[in-house]
Amino acid sequence: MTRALARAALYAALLALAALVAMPMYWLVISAFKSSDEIFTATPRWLPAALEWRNFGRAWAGAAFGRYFLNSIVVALAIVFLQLATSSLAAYALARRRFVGRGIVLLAVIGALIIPIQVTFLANFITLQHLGWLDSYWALVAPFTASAFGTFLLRQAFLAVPEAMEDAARLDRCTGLAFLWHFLLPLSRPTVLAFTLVALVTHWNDYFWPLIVTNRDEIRTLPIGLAMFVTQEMMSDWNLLMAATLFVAAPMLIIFFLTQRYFIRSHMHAGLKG
Amino acid sequence: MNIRHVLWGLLATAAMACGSPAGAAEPVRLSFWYPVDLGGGLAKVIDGLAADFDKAHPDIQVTPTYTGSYDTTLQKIQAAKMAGTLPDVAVTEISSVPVLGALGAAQPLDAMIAAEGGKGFLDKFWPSMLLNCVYDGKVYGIPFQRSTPVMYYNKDAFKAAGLDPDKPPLSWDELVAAAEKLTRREGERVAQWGLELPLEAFNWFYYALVYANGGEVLSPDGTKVLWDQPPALAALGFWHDLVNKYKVTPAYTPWNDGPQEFVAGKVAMIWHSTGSQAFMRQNVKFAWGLGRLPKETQFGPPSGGGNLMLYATDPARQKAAWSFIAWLSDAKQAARWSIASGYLATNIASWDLPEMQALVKEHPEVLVTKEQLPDAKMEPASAKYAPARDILNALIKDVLADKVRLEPAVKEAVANANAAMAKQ
Repeated sequence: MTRALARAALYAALLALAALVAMPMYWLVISAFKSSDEIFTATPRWLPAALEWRNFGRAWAGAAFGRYFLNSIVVALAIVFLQLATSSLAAYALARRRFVGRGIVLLAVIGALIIPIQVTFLANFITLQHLGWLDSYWALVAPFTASAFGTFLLRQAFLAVPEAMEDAARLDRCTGLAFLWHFLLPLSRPTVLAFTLVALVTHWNDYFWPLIVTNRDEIRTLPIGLAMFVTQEMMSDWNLLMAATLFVAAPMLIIFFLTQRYFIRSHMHAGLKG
Repeated sequence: MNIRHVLWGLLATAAMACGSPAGAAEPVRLSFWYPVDLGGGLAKVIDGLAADFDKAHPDIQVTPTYTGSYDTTLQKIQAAKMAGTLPDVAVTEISSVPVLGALGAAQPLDAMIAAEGGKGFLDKFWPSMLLNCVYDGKVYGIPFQRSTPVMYYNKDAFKAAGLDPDKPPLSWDELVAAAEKLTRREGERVAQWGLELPLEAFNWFYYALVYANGGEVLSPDGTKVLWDQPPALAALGFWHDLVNKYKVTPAYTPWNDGPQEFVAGKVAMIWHSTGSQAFMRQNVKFAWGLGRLPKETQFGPPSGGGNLMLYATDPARQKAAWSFIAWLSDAKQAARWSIASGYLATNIASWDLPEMQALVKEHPEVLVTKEQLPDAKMEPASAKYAPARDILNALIKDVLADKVRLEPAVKEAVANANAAMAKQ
């Protein structure tokens, strides 16, 4: 009996916490459906008087969202694919190979984790200019082909695979990259998936870099479209902004709900932010 | 695709890039960077303006590019300067005129202005709006999306408190008296604040108070801050008293929250940008009006917003870029931009145009914003002011929250700001 009570109390507390976390999401959704008259009322309105579906059409027409969607998908997938390739190779070397300077390389990778983009953006920008890649897809993808976060995360996962397994694989002539492909990556699948998701969300949401390196609508990405709804000095059209936010965030939210257990795992694993 | 295809492709591209020697019929293509907002609505106005310019000037083609906020636009321009990929024309926040002038990114406009009629051309604008356009004795900016703060007040609340709804306070004494009557308490809780001065990173209302008290914020050469001079000290003291002595103003209101609280009836008077009028017209459900920022010794609202600046260096592009700037700042276009955006019409002749008169007829309170224009003062600007701006912002928050004692805190902030500006 006391156990049931304790359990009920626990669930009540968790529900209250969940409500707290879900609150902004709820507000986002209902605001997207409100008319602009209803956005600001003296007492908050928990349900819109009528569903303003037109908000979505107006928001969609507010910027070149069709093109932005395509660009975001291409850029985010390209980055994630390249990061997986480079990170798993680097992580393999750092976790399973012995070579001179390995410790220093690892230290450099960990050091790179704490450098924000604002420090490196000018150097990257000028490099891209020399390559003639500014204002192109290359500019959006090239600086992110390697990931210190991914390298570190995968190295930790690879370390957890026992040496004995590598010895056994060696007996079957499965060494080097074959071992990486047939053993390390499949065995680290939760980490690989989790990293994929974090990288996907990070680059889906990236605003600063695409804004700096692009000038043409044809290659710009979703967050820039969203920012066009936020005003400089005056007030924004909040209902349209919320409607646009909803369809920009939707793909990531759906992927998150489908795969959330891996997501949570990655954050427990590393306690680091991509 | 094999490597040979790639190489041929590259060669072909290179040949195309070199092969068109300034074709005579090719229009000059100008890039125009702008930071604006509003549901893509204003971005469309900009596109429309550019399209109309192209129509009137077949030899020039303008491509507008949205560049985010004022801060990201500045960063984009600074990076582009390093890489040699500057735009031809861009709108930037007015206090960045010295920054971009000193960087050698923006080009002085004096020669082009002289060709356009010199003083006659500049006289088309409100003189106060030109204050933030000059650096090192040369004109670098032309006023475009400009604003000043103004006081929005709730006429219904004025009536309920026994105040004349057609006479907003004009002096600091009247301001305090009105705010005290308008502040309504229910027990400990404040049901309606008398006055709000929302805070943002540019410290607009600090400047407003210092100017209204006859003071200055920055030395004329832009190297020393003057926050510890008596008028400035008293101005911050007055703001502190509104919060902590008269208790008619909350200690901290974020910039964007202010208008929402005004709409919700949680505050009866609020200082905000002239640019918020469109929002108020759309959302306020009670009778409201505009008043000038009250004075202590003089009227002196600070100015804000963005200027048009020119970056092209090639003479042909420079000529085309200048004709775009001149066209955009002309009375007709300035009026069109003002009506669509809520920014001030900076061209004096705009106010006489029928479309502007129609706006005044529908919203007579707009005249208050015009009335303030001759008294507007400049936003403090120097190539080195940025760190001081942040130190001042922290100082204001601490003083209003009553966390520090006014005089020693200001002295310390002045020392820090001057040291930070000298170091750069």
